[in-house]
Amino acid sequence: MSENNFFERVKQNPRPVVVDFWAPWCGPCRAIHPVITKLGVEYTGRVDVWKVNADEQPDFLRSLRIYGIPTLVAFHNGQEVARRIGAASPAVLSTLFEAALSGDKPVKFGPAPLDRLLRLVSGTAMLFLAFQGRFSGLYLFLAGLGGVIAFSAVYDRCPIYRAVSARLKDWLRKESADQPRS
Amino acid sequence: MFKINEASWDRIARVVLGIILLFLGLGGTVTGILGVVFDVLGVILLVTGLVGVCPLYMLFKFSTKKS
Repeated sequence: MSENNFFERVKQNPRPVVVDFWAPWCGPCRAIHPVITKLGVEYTGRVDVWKVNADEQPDFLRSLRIYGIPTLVAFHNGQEVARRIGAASPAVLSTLFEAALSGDKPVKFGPAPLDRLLRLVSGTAMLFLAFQGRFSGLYLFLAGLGGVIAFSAVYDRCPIYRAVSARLKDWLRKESADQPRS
Repeated sequence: MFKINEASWDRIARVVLGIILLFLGLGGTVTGILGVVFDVLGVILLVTGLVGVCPLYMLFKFSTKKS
């Protein structure tokens, strides 16, 4: 597939397209594969999912400036509206489908850059103060609070937090589904 | 929940000032009543800076954030 050929096909496609650039040897690609398939089913008739094997089309990928996989690119009316490099949570991946559908930029998850900076600086300062006070009494509380504030700056990037919160959400969903409706 | 009414510069200034006051108050450089005042002011500035909402601004319907 050439670059022109690809864009022509994207433009002529009656529905928005999400293109998944992947390779059989790529672990993260395999990890997000079930999520992409599930989202593809969910958006059937509204958004099409195309898969491009990176090994078979290296020049084509280079022409699209894709240097890492998995990369997902969302097209709306033949125009690229969003791009995501690397594996991500189902919630983040679904924003690509929404972006392809609406043509708007995808909703960003997690705190804004300024929030991250302020939380990180304040949290670290509180931890430092607690260290100066040798973690006694009030300073121990300050250390805990500082730790929580510093972590809240990067919580969405922590793989352990993501895994635990995903399981917890699943469990809560199941619990609420099991409860009989009054 | 509450609409952010502080501009970025306002938030940064509050957090920096809050940290300085807390270091002076809790660090032991300033003691006595003034130390307690520094602690309380530091906490208020830090919290309002982190959250981005100032209750006093809300009371007077003032905002440093451009709409």
